[in-house]
Amino acid sequence: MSLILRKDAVAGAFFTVVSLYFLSGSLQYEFGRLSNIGPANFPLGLSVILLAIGVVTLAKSVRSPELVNFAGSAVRPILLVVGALVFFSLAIERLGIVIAIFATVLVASRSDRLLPWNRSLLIAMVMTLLVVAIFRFGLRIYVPLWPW
Amino acid sequence: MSFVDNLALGFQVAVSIENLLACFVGCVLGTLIGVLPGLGPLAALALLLPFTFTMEPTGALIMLAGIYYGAQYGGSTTAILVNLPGEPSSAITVVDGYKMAKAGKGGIALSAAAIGSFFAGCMGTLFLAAFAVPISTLALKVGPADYFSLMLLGLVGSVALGSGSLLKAVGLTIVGILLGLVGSDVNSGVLRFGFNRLELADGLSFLCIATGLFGISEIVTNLERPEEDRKLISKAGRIWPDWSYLKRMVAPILRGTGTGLVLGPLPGIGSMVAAFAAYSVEKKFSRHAAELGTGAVEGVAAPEAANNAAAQANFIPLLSLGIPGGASTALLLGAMIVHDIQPGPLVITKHPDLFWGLIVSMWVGNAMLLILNLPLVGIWVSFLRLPYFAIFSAIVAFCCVGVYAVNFAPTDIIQMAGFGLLGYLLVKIDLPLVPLVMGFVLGPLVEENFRRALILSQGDLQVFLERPISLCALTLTLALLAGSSILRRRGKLRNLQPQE
Repeated sequence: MSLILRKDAVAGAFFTVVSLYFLSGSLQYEFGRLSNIGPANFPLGLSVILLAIGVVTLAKSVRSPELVNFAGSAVRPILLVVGALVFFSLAIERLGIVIAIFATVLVASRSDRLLPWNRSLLIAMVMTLLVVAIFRFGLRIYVPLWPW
Repeated sequence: MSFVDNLALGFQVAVSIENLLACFVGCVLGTLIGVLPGLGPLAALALLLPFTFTMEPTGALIMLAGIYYGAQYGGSTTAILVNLPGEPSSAITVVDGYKMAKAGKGGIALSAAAIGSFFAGCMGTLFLAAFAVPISTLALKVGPADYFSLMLLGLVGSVALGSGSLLKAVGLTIVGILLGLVGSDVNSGVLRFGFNRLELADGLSFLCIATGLFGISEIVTNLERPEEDRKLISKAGRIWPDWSYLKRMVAPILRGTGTGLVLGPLPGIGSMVAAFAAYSVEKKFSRHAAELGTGAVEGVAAPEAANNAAAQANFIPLLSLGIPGGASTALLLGAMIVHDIQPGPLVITKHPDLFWGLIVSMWVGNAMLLILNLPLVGIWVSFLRLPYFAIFSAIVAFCCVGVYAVNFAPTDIIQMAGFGLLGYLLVKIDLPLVPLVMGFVLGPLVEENFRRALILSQGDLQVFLERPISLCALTLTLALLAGSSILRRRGKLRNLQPQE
């Protein structure tokens, strides 16, 4: 499974989407006069320029030979790393740092598909000890250790 | 106060136990991360930023500066011994450095790099101490219109000589500026582009952007690639060069330092361009020019001296005007703002202890690195043997806890993950991350100065052309844009690109 696209088409689409978001956003704010410009003018001006860049990049992409391959092999690391981070943000205040870090590292390390399970457990344990030692006892930052 | 008094004050600050320790820890951690494959000064700064936020500002900046040039040193070690530049500014060192290592002269190449960097670092520090103050007194005459134009110059400078398409780099700078504008508008108090989320009232977090773009996205990008063959690590061999080598090093180090000092303060001309320029200078002027490319010590000493001198000189616009010359100094600017120090001419008068302490600590740090790097090179190289799963697990763990511990805001982790994804996408389609970060850091300042200039001129746009400093900066900006697109068309910029 893979998705092959032109690099410039992706770049152009990215610029266009970002510019449209900021363009529609800035239209909601107040415009000032030149002597006292409001919160809308500056971002509006920039988004118009960005929109132009996006459109030109898109148009040029038709002739650009460079392709990008969003391969299926990237899905696993992306899901696992991002998933691990989301888990950490949900867990840190509910479960304490020991469980949060252990599980986060365990999940993230699985993104290396060749890594045996016992290595994952080992690195998760080592990182938990290291993080607790450095943050809690070294830098004395107060983060609860356990859920209770 | 005279120059000597100032340096004395700086010494007092820099050699206090805490600051010496901060400098030492910074140098060690910076070297450590710089040695690791794929992680350069930017990643080192981003990963370690959170740890400095609990420190007092002087110590924190001293440590960050240590991390910055420590990582540069680390990068040259891997360039020489493993044929793997840790960061773009050592890309050219690889050519002769690795050939020397293969011929069993790796140790000599390492000491050429270390001695060259040390000498250049000392000169750079002196240069910085000598020029930052006069420039900053000039800066008191700099109005908002001038600041606007100077920042524009800085932003354009940082993309003009980069690799890839100029149009797309400008686009990314604008994306960065727009992202920097998210949050409460200083003048009217309106919350802009924040999805009405109160968490975003202070804007997107600089820390999340830095760690996401340079830490998390790096992991995902690396994991996607197929397992690389183990790189062959050369033995360092004899470290201390004999007289004949030392004599051959002197001239290249001097020329390299000079090149670095001249190019370093210019906005956007980072240490990478300086290193490439120094290599070309050697090709023209060195007595051993013919040996370059086959493992000549000149090809290591000159670019390494140049990139270090430039790295140091890059602090001049940051400390005197508050305008970062490149991505690394932009990260330091972000760190200063977090510490409530508004960088610019007032730093020198308001916090002379911080300013001079930082400058002297750079010299101390360079001396430490010389001592740390040569005898301990074996230890650094052993870190190269760490398996990648250990490295990326550590990055994930430290990014999470580090970012969380700064604001105790779990949503910051989500932001970091988001920027990690963005970084992955951008790297995938060959868009550079540096302009985005430069734009993000400078964005709010650019807008504020633009608005203030127009308030002062009562809406007259000509103010940007009437003030001499502003006019100069705008002219230079246009010249850079024009020059860069001409060079691009002729394909002359291709040899400035890092070999990856």
